[in-house]
Amino acid sequence: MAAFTDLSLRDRLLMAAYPWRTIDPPAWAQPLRPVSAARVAIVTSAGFYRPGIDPPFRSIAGGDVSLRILPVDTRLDRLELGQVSHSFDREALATDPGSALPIPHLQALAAAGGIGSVAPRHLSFNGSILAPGRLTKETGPEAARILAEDQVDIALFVPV
Amino acid sequence: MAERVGPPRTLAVPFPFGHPLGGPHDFARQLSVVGAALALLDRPGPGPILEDYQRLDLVT
Repeated sequence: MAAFTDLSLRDRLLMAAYPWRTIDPPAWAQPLRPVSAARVAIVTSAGFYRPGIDPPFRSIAGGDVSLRILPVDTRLDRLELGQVSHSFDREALATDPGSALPIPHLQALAAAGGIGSVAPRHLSFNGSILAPGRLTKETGPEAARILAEDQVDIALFVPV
Repeated sequence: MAERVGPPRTLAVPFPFGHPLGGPHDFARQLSVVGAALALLDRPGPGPILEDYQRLDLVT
C-alpha cells in the first residue's frame, strides 16, 4: 500500500507544509441516470500526451495547468508520460498507460452492460501542480465544458 | 489527501504510488477497481464518500 512514509523526505516536507484547499461546501451532484446507463469519461493526471500531435507538458514553476484532449481511439502505446514527479513508479505507467487511462476497461464495461457508453474524448492533466489557481479558474472550467459538450455523465479521475 | 481536500467520491486503493488501479498489465484488477469506483455513483448522498477498496466484497 502507498504510504506517506514511502515518499522522499523532500516530498514529505513539501506535503506537510502545503496549504491544502478543502472543497467547502462539499461538491455533490446526484447522477441523472444509473451507472449502467451513464456515459463515462476519464480524467487523468498522468500528463499523457500524443507526441507529434500534442505539445508536451512544460516543466514550469507551479506546474503546467494545461490540458490535453485524448480521443477514445488514441493509441495508448504511443502516449508519452508528461508527469515530472519521480515520486511514483514511472515504469509502470510507461509500460501500461491503460493503468492510468483505462479506456479499454471502460470499453469492456460498456460491452458487458456495466456502463452505458464510453465518451468520445478523455482528458489528461499534468500532476504535481503546486499553484492551481489557473487550473481552477481556467482549465478546470474548460474541461467541464468539453465533458458537457460530449454529454458525459461521469468523469472518473485517475490520479497519478 | 482525499480526507483533507474532500472530493465528492473517492475510492482509496492499497497499491503503491504509480499504480492507481493496480499493477501494470493486471487488467482484471484494474477493471475491478474501475468498476468499484464507478459503483460509488449509485450510492445516495450526501457526500463526500471515501470508500476503502479493500473493504469491499469484490476483491479476488
